[in-house]
Amino acid sequence: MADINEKKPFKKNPLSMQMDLSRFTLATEDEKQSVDVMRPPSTFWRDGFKNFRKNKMAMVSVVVIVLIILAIIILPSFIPYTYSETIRVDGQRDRTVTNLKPYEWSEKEQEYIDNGGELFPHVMGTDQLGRDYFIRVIIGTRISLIVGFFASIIVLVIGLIYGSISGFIGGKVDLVMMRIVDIIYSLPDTLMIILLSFVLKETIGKQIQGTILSKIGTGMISMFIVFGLLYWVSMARLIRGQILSIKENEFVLAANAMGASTSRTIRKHILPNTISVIIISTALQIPSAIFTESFLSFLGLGVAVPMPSLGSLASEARQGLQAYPFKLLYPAVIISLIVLALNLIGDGLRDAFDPKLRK
Amino acid sequence: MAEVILQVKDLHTSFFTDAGEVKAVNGVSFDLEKGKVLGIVGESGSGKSVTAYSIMRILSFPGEVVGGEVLFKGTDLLKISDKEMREYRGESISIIFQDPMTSLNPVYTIGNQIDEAIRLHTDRKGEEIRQRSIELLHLVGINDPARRVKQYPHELSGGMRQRVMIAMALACEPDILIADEPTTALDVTIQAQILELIADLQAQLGMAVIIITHDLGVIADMCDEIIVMYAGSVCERGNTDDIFYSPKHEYTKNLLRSIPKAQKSNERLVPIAGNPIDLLNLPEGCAFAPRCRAAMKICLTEHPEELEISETQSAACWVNVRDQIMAETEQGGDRA
Amino acid sequence: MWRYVVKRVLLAIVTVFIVIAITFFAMNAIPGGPFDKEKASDPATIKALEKRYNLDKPLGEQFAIYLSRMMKGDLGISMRNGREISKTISTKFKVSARIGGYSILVSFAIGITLGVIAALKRNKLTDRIIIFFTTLLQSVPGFVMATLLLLLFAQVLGWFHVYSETDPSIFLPVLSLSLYPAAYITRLTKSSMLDVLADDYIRTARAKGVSPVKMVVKHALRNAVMPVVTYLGPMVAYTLTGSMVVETVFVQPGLGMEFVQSILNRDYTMIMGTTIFLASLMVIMTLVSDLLYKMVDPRITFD
Repeated sequence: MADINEKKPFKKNPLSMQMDLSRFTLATEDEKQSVDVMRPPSTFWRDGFKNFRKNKMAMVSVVVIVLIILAIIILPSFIPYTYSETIRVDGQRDRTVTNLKPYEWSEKEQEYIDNGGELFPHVMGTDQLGRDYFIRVIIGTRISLIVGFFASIIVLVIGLIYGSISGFIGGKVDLVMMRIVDIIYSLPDTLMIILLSFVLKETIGKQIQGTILSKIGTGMISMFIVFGLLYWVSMARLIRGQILSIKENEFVLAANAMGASTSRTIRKHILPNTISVIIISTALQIPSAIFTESFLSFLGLGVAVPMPSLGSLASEARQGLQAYPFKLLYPAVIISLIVLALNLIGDGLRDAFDPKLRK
Repeated sequence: MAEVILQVKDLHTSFFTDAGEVKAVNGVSFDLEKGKVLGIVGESGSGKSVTAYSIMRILSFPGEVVGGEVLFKGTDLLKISDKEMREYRGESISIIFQDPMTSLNPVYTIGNQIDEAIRLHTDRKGEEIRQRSIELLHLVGINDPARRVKQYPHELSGGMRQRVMIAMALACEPDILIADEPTTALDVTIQAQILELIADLQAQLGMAVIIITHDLGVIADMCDEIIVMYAGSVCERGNTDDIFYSPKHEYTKNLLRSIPKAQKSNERLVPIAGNPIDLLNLPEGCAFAPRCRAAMKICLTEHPEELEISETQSAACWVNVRDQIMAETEQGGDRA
Repeated sequence: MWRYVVKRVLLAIVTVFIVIAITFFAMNAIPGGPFDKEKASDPATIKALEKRYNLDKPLGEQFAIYLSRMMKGDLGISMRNGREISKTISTKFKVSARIGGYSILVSFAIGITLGVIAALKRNKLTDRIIIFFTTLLQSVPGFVMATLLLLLFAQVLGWFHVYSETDPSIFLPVLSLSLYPAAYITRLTKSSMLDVLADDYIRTARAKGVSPVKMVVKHALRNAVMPVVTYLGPMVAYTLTGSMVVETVFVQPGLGMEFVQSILNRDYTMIMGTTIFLASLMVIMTLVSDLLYKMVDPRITFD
C-alpha cells in the first residue's frame, strides 16, 4: 500500500493546521497583481541596446574605434610634419633622414638639437623617402576609414533605392530587376575592380592630374565606381525582402480595415527589424571595403602616391622588411585593429538585435 | 496489486539561462503501474514535456535535474552513469515526439533509422535486423513496408512519419512508451488514427504508456489516470471521471470551461484570464492564483499541498481546504 | 530540380559572357592603342601585329574574332614577350592550382575539425580560444598575414627556403592562403553544427540510446557539413585573388604573380586573357558548388 499512498500525502485534518480563517477570504485584484510579477515592458531598441552593452568585446571595440577616430582628428594638429614632404632640417635637405627608427634622429637633426634647436620626435621613425612615418600612418588611417565609410554609404544608398523600387512596384519590373541582381551577384567583384582600376588609370589618369581627383587616385575612384556598380546587390535584396513583408502585412490588415494597426505593426515590428538589419549590414561592409582598398593599394592600384593608405604603407614596407620590420607592423596592427573592432561591433549588433536570442 | 514500474519522486528540474534559473519542474511525483496509461495534461510551459525529458535524461542545455528520484524497477535513473542510461533508452523506456518531420533525420532512410534502434539494443544481426524493421512497419499499419523501408522521411506523409516514430520506439518492446504531444502536429483526421494505434499497441504489447498533451479531448478515452500540471507542479490527479466530472482544482475547472463541449453548445466559452506564467519569477503561493477567480488571500502566499480527495483523486488547492474546514465547522456546529 | 540546374547553368554562361565582354571593351577603351608603348618596333612589325590583332576592323568584329579564337583556345600573344597567352596561363596555373588546391584542402580540414570541436565545447575555454583566433585571423588582411609569416618563419626563424630557385617551399604560401578561409569555415561549421545539435532528430537519436560519439559523427556531422559545402565557390574565388598576393610575397611562379606583373608591365593582352580565365573559373566553381549542395541534400534530389 505504501506505493499508492506515496503520491497522495497523508490526509490532514484541516482544522489541525492552525489556519487563520481570515486568510480564506477572497483575494482582491490588486493583491493578485502585486504577486503577478511581470517583466518591465521594453521596446525593441531598449532591449537591443541593453543586450549590446552586455557584450564586453563589442563595447571595448566601440571605445577603440572612437579613440582611433579622435586620434586621427586631433593628433595631426600637433605634428609639424606633413605626409608628403620630405623632412628638411633648418630649411635644408637632409639625406640622412631616411629610414630612421622610432625616436631616432638623423645626423643633421642631431646637430640641430645639439645646437639648441627643438624638433618634434619621429614617433614612428621615417620612411625611405625621408617623410615622417607617424603622420603618414595617421593620414593613411584617415584615408582608409573615409574610403571604407563612403563605400558603405554608396552601397547602402544604391541598395536601398534599388531594393525599395523593386519591392514596391513588384510584378514584372521586380522580376527583371531581380534577374539583373542575380547576374551582377555572380560577377567576380575583385577581378572587376582590378580591371577597372587599371583601365581608369590608363584612360583618365593623365587627364585629371593636378585636380583633387588625382590626389585620391584612380584606384580609389574606380573602387567607388565598382562598389556603386556591384556591391549593393546584397543590400538591395535585403531591403526588397523587408518591403515585401510590409506589403504582405498591409494586405492582411487592410482586410481587417484597421487603419491604425497597419502603421503600428510596421512601426513596431518591421521597421526596427529593417533598420537593425541595415545597420548591421553596413557595419560589416566597412571592414570589407577597407580590405578591398588595402588589397588594391598593395597591388599598386590604390591611392596615388604620395597619398598614403594603410594598404599602400604595408606594401611599401615590404622593401627593407628585414631591416625595418616596424614599418609593416604599424599599419598592419592598426588596420587589423580597426577591422577587428568593426567586426566585433557588427557581430555584437547582430547578436543583440537577433529576435531569436531575445528572451 | 499491480506492479509499479516507474516512481517519480519530488522531481525538480531547472534551466540555467543567462536570464536566470527557469524552474520548469517543481516537485512532481507520480507512480506508473505496469500496463497502465497515464495522461499528463497542461498548457505550454507547465513542465509536462520537461518532466518526460528529465525521466529519460535527454534534457537539452541548459537544463538540469536538480532534485528528486526517478525509480525504474527500483533503480534510480538519475543516479546511474550516462553509459548505463543509454541502455535504458530505447530498450526499457521509449519516447516519441511531437513533430515527426523534424524528429527524423532527413539524410538517412527510415529503414536505416529503425535498424539503428534494433542494432543498439538487441542481438540481431544482418538481414534479421532489416526483417524486424519491416515487421515493425507492418505492425504500425504502414502499407508496403518492404518498399517504404528504403524511403526518406520527407517522402512520407505526417501521419506515416509518426507511425515510423512509433515503430522505432517499439523496436525493442520497451516497458514504457512516452508519447509527447503525439498528435499536436498532425491533421485532425490523422490524430484519431494515431491515438487508436497507440491504444491498440498498448493493448497488444502490454506496455505502460504516458501520454503528454495540452488537449483534454485527446486523453478522454485512453487514460487510467490523469495528472494536471501547471507551472511545474501537479495541480490535481485522478481517473477520467474524477477529472472530467468533479474537478477539484480551479485550474482544472478553468481548463474544462474553456474547451468547447459538444453537448452544452449554448454555454459561453470562458477563456482563462491573465498572463501565462513566468517561470523565472514564480510567486510564493499557488502559481495559478493571479489568474484564478476563486483565489483567496492564502493562495497568494502559501503554496498548497496536494491533499487526498478520494481514493483515486487528490488536488493541491486551498479551496478544498476551505470547503473541508467549512464542512467540519458546520458539523461541529451541529453537534454543538 | 532540373529546372534549377538549367537556370543556374544559363546564368553562369551569361555571366561569363558579360565578363568577357566587359574585359574586352574596357581594355580596348584605353587610348593610344596597345602598340604605342612599344619602343623598339619598326612600322613593319607594327603592321604585322595589327593584322594579327585585326586592329583595322571595327570593334564589334574584333570582339567576335576574339571570341571565336577563344573558343579554340587561342587567347593571343603576350605584349611583353610574344609568347602564347594560353600556354603561359596553363603553365603558370599549374603552380597556382597546386598551392590553391592544397590550401583549400587544408582550410576545409582545419575549419571543419575546429568548428565541430568549438560547437561541442561551446562556451568552454576551448571554444573561446577558437573564437578568439578565428576572429583575429579574419581581421588581418591577406597580404599582411603573408608578409608577417614571411617575416616570422623565413627570415627570423629561417625554417623555410622561400627564395630558392629550384625548389621553393610551398608550405608558407599554402599556410597563409588557407588561414582566412579556415577561420571562416570554422565559424560556419560551428554555427551549422550548433543548429543541427539543437534539431529534434538529434534528440530522437539520444532518446534511442545512441552514444554521444555516434550522435555527432553519424547523425549531426552530415547534416552540419552540408551548408559548408556551399562555401566552396566563394572559397575558390578568394584563393584565386589571394594567390596574387601570396605568390608575389613568396615569389612563386604562379598565375597570380603573372597577373600582377602584367598589370605593372601594362601587358594588355595578358591582362585580358588572365582576367577572362580567372573570372570564368570563379563563375564555374560557384556554379559547381551550388549544384553540389543541391545534390548532396536528399531532400532536394528527390523532388
